Amino acid sequence: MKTVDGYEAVIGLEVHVEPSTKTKIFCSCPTTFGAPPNTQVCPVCMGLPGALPTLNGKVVEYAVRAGLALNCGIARRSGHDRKNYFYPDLPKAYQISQYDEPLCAGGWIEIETGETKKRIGITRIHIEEDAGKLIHDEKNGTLIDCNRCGVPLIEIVSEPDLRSAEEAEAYLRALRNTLLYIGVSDCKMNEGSMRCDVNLSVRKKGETALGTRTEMKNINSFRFTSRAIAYEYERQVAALLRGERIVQQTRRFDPATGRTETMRIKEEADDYRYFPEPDLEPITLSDAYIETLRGALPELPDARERRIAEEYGLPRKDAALIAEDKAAADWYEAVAKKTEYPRAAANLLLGDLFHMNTADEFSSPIDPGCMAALCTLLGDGTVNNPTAKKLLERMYRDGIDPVAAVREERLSQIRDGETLGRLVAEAIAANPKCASDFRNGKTAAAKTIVGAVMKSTGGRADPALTARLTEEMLGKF
Amino acid sequence: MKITERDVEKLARLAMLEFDEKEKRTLAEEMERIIAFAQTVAATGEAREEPADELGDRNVWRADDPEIAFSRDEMLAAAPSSEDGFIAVPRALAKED
Amino acid sequence: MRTLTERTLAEHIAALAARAYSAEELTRAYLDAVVRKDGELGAFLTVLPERSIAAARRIDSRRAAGEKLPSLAGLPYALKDNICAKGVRMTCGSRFLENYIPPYSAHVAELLENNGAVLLGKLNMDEFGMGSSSEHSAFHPTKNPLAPDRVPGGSSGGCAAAVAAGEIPFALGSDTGGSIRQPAAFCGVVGMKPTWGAVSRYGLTAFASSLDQIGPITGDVRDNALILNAIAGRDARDATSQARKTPDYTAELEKDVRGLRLGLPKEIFGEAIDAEVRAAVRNAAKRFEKAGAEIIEISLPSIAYALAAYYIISSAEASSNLARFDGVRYGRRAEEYTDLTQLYVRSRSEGFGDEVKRRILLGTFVLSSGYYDAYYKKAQNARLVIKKDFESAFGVCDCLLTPVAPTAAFRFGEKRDPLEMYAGDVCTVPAGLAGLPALSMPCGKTGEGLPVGMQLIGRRFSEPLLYRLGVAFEREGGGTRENG
Repeated sequence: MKTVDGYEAVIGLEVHVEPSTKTKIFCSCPTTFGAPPNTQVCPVCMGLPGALPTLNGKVVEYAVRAGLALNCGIARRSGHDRKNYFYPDLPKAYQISQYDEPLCAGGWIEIETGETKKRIGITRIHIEEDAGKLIHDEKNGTLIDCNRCGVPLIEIVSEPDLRSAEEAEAYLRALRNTLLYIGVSDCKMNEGSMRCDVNLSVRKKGETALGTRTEMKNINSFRFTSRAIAYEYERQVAALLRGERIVQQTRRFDPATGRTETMRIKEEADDYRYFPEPDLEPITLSDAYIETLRGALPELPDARERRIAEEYGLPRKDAALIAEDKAAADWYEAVAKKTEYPRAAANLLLGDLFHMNTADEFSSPIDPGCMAALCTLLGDGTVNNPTAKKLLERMYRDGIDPVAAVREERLSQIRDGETLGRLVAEAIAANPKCASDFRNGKTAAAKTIVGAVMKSTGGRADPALTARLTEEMLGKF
Repeated sequence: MKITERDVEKLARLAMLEFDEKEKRTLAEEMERIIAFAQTVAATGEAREEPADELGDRNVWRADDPEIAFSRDEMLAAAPSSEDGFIAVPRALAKED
Repeated sequence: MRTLTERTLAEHIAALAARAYSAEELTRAYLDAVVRKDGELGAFLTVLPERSIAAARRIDSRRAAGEKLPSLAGLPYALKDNICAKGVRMTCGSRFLENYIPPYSAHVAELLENNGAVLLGKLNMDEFGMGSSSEHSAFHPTKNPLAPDRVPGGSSGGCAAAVAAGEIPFALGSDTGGSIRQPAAFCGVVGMKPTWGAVSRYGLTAFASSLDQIGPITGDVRDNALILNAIAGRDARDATSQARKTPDYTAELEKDVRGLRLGLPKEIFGEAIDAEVRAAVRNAAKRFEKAGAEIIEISLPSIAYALAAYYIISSAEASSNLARFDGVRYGRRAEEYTDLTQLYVRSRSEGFGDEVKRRILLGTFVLSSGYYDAYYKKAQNARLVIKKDFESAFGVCDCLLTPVAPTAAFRFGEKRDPLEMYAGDVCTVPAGLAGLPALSMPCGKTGEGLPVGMQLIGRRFSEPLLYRLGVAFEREGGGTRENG
């Protein structure tokens, strides 16, 4: 992010994730995405008179697990509160949330930007219900779908410890990865199961007081988050330099222009009149409950990174890159377990596959067993590196079987010294200038010979052996 | 404490109600008296913990088992206006929260 | 010889089982009473002649086929119009819900249905439960069957009037600050507000969630216990309903009351209570003494704050509970509006009556930023103090005895000022705030022949004890409609 000398951004993120429970938080309606409007509703989530909320225990469990994975303290007692306001996506005209007594508080997560590691504080984590979906219709009306009313949300609020768009993105990735690792949510920003609100203010470097902040809501991709932060930082700094004051407000990020815009400013701030929810008992958690969940937490990213490095003999840096994405790590281990050449697998994954995959999240259409076979072919020298990469591309695109391809197309490496020697001699004979160049000290001429041999064998010659033989034979002249 | 018509207007906005001038005057006066009466709670001493008798059932949680108990037709039957399965209202301005 | 509609539930149950008459005959007898009396009385908002007769016939066929029938099979009843029955119009006494048809039934309605009881109709009430006279019904007031120029009480006025007039043998009402107990007292019948959490609130349109309870209104105490048996108990759909094993509420009815200690809180016997009412309740105390109980004078000092605390808390919760009535998904939608805000404002302003609006504003005020601590928080604190006072009282007595209301039934239009109306709740709100069970039953009459009710308040889940005391009182020659 471009910065203006002397001014730092102070950023806090509020992330809402949808835990992957089967039912809503306060009723048994299903949470499946994409159903026809108003087909997953009942008196409770539609706010009919006489309906009452009942808490889904799984939501509590998922939120506590998230809290544990994020190093939070877990409240032994927490309560629900009503947040009262009118809006067509809110059937009861109040949202059941947690205000005073959230489930988790005081945690942290480590992020890495470039070579720097930093701890970002997590202020609190609480559970609440989502509102419905509105569609603004051409005829100037609004259409309401209540399917999403009551879908559970886990809200994770960070301390304002972030200082740049890069840090914000690193935080979101780390957070998402952790949540994926513990299986609490599928965190798909494009589907809305993970949403981000940004609070940003600026101040002169060295100051400790916070400036006035603005809020940008419901940003639904990492890239947009970055861009919104970069733009808003510049806007605020420019305003301050002009001697203007920052107005506290909510702004909308427009992905098309990359700018943030004022939303309507209300004369009166909303008064939500929070009060404790009388229809629900407080949540009381025992030490035993919390310890059971803590004990059952799966391996978190840092631990996995260490284990992968050790178990498969990878450099820490490579292991870190792999562990950063749970899907990639899962796929990698499935491959690594089936081959004796896990380092080859890592190199192909990091060097090639990561680039082939363009989505936010890693996925691979290649069956781990096939991949393992390819790694073995490469590792035991049956094929050389260039061949392996070509095969990988075809496996990714067309799903070929590498073992069959090598056999049928005779792609195996030529490692036989006699054959290669003959080929090198032929190439030297065909390129007499190289021989004389080499004798005159231009050792790079050997490369031309090697290149010729590779070409004449369709890339199948063992490059290292070819190079050695070439230097030997050129040297004899 | 004094309750003015402007106070009534502010509360009415929060509660999505409207009143004419006469009603506002009457309500301001009534509310002032009721709130003055309500003030008497200020005199109670501090209660400390919940009385022992209060321990109700703890953690009444529901299992995560989906159920569709109502059809869309049933749930929308009372809707004053619906369209293609959606409930219809005039255009809503953007929410701030 | 009493007519069919003058008999008790217990008598009907025995007679139906013995086939002395059929469920259909019984239902027709009560429907007849409704037709004859309700034009004048105005207790009902909806009557269901076809549905009820069809239901009664089904019971008769099952009985004829030799099936073993559930305990309340064939008994007609009615529901206060804030308790929903699927497919039956529910208005809550409000124009907002004038044409609302609920798509589901309340838990208690399902229980009664499964028990074979026959729903005759829905009963009039003060709008959304806010009121103590049924004058705040948007449709019409209900008359007190014992004195047609006087109110039956509220908000369950229709329930008490219908039972007192013999239109139905029992009704289910709801009580937040006295709405079962006070009308029962005004009409000379028996009403129980159970422990908060004893009966599921699923399907009861919420007024003040932490105070609301559904309870039976009947002609005598035994009938009341029979009905509570049928409706109490845990419901998975109400997280605040208690899982405790429900006792048989009729199990202790024959026990005597020797040695039981009844506490009379001195603060409730002061000048604010009519002299005749005080006298009737003190006489009742004497009757209990004759039966072997001990009468003790006790003190509940925090009672002084109960009324204020009640109005703060109940209005606050009501302002939130009634916000869902916005004209979007059900209920009245205004005809004319130019934008969404107007849709909300007009639908609500047209649909709600004055008392409801007043309470919504009050509730909005006490929750609003800057006032929450001074009012709502303080009121919740007062509530805890009241609970503790009761706890101390139960350290020296088994049950409290108090009047139900400061006066007997007053005249229509007599209490125009809201604060004057609220003052009538002074005896009933404490038990509501503390979540304690409270039984209201007749204990005497005024000089003008109007019934006076007494209230028995017990520890949480002590309904069996209250019923036991009530039956003993009736045995001592008191408590029935005739004897008063």
